[in-house]
Amino acid sequence: MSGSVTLAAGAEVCHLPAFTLESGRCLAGSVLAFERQGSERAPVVVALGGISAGRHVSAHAAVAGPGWWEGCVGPGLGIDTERVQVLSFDWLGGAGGSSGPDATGSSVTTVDQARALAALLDQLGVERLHALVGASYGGMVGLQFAALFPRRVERLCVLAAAHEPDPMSTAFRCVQRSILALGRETGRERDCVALARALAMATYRGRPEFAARFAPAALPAGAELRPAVQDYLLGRGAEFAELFPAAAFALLSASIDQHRVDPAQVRTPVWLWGFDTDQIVPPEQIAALSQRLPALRQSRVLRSRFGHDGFLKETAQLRPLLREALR
Amino acid sequence: MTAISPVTASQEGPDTVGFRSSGPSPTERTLHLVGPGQVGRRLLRLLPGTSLRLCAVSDSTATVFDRSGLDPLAIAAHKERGLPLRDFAAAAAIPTELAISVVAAQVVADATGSDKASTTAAVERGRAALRNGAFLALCGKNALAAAAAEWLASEQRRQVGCNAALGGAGLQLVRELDELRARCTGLELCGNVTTTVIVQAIERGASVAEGIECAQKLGILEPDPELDLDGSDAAVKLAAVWGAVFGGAGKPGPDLATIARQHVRELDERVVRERVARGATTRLVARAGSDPQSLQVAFAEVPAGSPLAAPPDRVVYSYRLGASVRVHTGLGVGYQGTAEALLADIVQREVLR
Repeated sequence: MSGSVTLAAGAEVCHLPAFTLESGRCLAGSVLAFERQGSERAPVVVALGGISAGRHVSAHAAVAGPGWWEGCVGPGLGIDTERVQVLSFDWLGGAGGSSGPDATGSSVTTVDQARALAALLDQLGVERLHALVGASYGGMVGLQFAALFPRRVERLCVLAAAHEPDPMSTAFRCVQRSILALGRETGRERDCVALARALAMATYRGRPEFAARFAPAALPAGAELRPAVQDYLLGRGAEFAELFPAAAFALLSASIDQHRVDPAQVRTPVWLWGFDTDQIVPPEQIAALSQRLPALRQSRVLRSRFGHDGFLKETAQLRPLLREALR
Repeated sequence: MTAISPVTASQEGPDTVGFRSSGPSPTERTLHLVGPGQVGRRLLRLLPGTSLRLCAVSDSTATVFDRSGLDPLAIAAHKERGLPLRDFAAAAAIPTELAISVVAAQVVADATGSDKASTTAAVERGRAALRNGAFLALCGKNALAAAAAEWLASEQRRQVGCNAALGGAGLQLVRELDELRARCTGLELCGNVTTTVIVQAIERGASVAEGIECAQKLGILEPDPELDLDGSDAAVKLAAVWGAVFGGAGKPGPDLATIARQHVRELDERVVRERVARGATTRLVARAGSDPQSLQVAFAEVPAGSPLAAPPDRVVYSYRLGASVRVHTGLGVGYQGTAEALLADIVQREVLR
């Protein structure tokens, strides 16, 4: 009957029509918070990131603070906001300004996110996207969107994402969700969000980066064992826990593991990029997906020491690739 | 629960062994419905299967009462035939306020409509229910506006439900009221669905008069349509929410009669359509700051992405909290939506007390 969201003053929302989630639950009266930047009459590019990313992709005149993809989106960058209009939204069920089912026994899938995007485009009067560029969870949603709404997107760029979850990644996320469940049961939700996120961070990064940053140091006799990497991971986890509710973390984590797309249904031209040190979406998965996409235009595994987070860090490699794909 | 000793059990026989109940299930709540009109009858039809036991129904002619339970569907059918309750078996022609005190149900759902003339009576009924310790679930916006500071800006809010009166957005208001009272600096409401329907018709090329006809055909106008068309409905809702968020004992509240409002016939169709061309829309927006003189209701240009650009199936209540806004949406629109909002109030709020 009613919903409550908190938005930054001036944030834009789409009032979603009632629709039934894949779970069978009807989502009524909900809103999707979104953000636009770039030239108003230009072709529209949707940019979607990981589960902790939101609608604010990069700084622009209307919203000054840093976004999640500063190095790739902006005037003259890979996604050039002087040539295109960039659109993004907060995930249903996430930590931003969009609604979502309440946590108990509910789920939101990449199909649901894709349908929400379609509803947003309907409200904005956008019939066809120039491109959808999706990284990590955003890439999964992009694949789903192209499969469900082939006429609504001209091209798809998928970074560090695949048609289904990798079993080892699922294993890590199961442990994370078990930690979150322990938090609910013991009343220590925030601590457990921090711990689960710390574990997640360890899987998002690459072995070469950690080898360079956290080489084992000499340990004086009797000293407490506290490797620098522990402080790094727990610190990042604690920052995350300040902003991200446990229910949203669990819901979106599960959404990744529920993701299934038949690559044969993705008939949109696809540019597919992965990273050689990605533990979450390993190169083998990128290869498997590339063999099954009927309209693949390019598939590359990029060298990076940053693992799955290569999509955030390897902006120098990604900019020319994006520019070329979006031409 | 009565403990039965093993000796007692063997003496009394096997059919009395075990738990002996002396009353209703502890989870069942007794309900007194006031006003079996359009909304009330729909509420009656929603009751089967809930944990509510209908024990009394009052209309303007009489009250029907049975502590062991009434058949809500039979009463709904009786009223749907246009018959007064005084014609129902065992009806008692007593004033409703007295009936509320005598029945002493745990929940009183006042589904009477909103009109200025009956506001005082509605407030007195509400006070009677609250004195009995009942949970009061309200439909009437006027009663809520008149008593908002008394009922919502105090501890008594735990006994008062305003979800139906506020189009399905009342549950969230009450849940977050402590925070809103501490932090809110301004209100903006898009709470009148009728004018949204009219505006959308104009945006599609209709005249104002044709837009009003469109709303009439949908059956969504208030029983007194002028209350929708002249901004009074929006003004009352604004006053109600203002009282909850900014009101308090001893504080002067807004005077409904002096709230500036705009009639839908003042809309300029050309301006409405020009706004669409700019990627904006028009909505009847009720606004207020903390000053009781600041309340106003007017048609305003609203960007297409604004939370206030609500479609006509919902109401939106926006609360300014520093650099952010809290947005509540409600789907309690039309008779059925209002009945569902009333039931949601009772089920979600009352059982949690």
